[in-house]
Amino acid sequence: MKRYICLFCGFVYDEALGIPDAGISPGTRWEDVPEDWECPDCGNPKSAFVMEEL
Amino acid sequence: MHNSTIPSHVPADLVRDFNYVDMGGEKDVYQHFKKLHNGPDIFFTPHHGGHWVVTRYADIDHVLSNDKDFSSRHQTVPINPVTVTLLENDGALHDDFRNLLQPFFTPKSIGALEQVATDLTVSLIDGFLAKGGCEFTGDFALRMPIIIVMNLCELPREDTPYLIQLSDDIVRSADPMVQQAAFGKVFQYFIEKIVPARTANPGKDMVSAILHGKVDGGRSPTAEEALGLCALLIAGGLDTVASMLGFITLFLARNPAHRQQLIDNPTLIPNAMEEMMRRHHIANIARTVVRDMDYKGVHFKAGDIIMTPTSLAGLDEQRYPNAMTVDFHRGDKKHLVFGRGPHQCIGSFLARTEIRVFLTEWLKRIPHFEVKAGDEPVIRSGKANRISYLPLTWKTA
Repeated sequence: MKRYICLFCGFVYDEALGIPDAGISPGTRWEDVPEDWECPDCGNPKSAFVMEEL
Repeated sequence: MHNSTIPSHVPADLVRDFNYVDMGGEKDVYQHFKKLHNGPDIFFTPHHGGHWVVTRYADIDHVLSNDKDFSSRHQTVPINPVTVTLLENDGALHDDFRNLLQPFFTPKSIGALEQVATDLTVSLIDGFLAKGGCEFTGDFALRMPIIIVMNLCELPREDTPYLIQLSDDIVRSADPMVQQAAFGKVFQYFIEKIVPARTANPGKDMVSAILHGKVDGGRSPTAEEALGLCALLIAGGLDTVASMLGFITLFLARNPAHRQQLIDNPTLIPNAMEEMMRRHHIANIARTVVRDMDYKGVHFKAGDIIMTPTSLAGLDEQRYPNAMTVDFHRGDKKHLVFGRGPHQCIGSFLARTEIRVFLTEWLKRIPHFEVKAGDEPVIRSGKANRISYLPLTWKTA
């Protein structure tokens, strides 16, 4: 499971956790997150995210 | 009313005598802008060569997001005499310049700087803590961002006092000639000292990446473009961050109840930071209409300049209920402080890191402070709203 981070605000999407409040179940892979989904903190689109490097 | 010709396509009922830099005796820059919400959502002013102003969050968001209809060819009022690299490029060339800088602004890269920011913040505060007061802009807000940028560019540490002085002139002077001269000296500094060194011995710093990068199908940036990017690094991350630090600090100095919320619960700092930024948007930028078009019943012509004062976006009651009130528990954290669309501020994560570190470390050491009695902050409107003078006091042990 990978994590993706917003370049602008640092919000982290963790595939293992999903975002249940937004209807994205735990385990949902990044590529399966809807393309019109926006960062819940800053409103930026998926294109603003990069895979977080450890 | 300013005596300049109103273009023939501008209806008389949409003309207003609004000069965004002239606060006319108003001391609160946000009240200066807020009164525009009593008028039309879109209006034209003859000041600064004549330009439109959009006043609502939704329209500011739309213009900034829509680079096909609204170019960044001119993105300030008044327009700049020379194209500002990156900020005033569109399309693929803009993307190429941005891609040279992006690796230095990723959360991973900035994460590596967080300890530097923390140590710097603590060091600066320790320098005046025992004095029971400081002039916040000069003693802190100007110093932290410039030193961080110097770190990113690996500029020689001995040049810190010189660059701080130039930063002071850029940010604090009300005289455009002084500001222009300071920018000229920034260019000169890079031309004479840094560019030759990094051309001869490239490193892994941002200046080397600019000088040795490729853009526009494979060419090197021109000398003018490279210098423009270097100057942008100094200017872009400097007065904006310094100003935001100032507005946040002024707000907390005047609002002890809000301050106490953060003292009691430091985990609230990230949300509080976003809300204080929301209330105090800084950038009053613009765009250029690409082609004749109609927008919400208003006819724009190609070349028209449209100001998108983000100062107003944060105060729009149509977007934020009780917009003038700071509520650390406001659910909507989204705002336009860093812009929107292709030109959204590349330094957003860095700025957020700097401000979060500042709030965390300042409130640990100076939890209770206020504006010095009998003195007043100096606040100006401009391309970036700024607090050029902020005297603070606090009790010492």
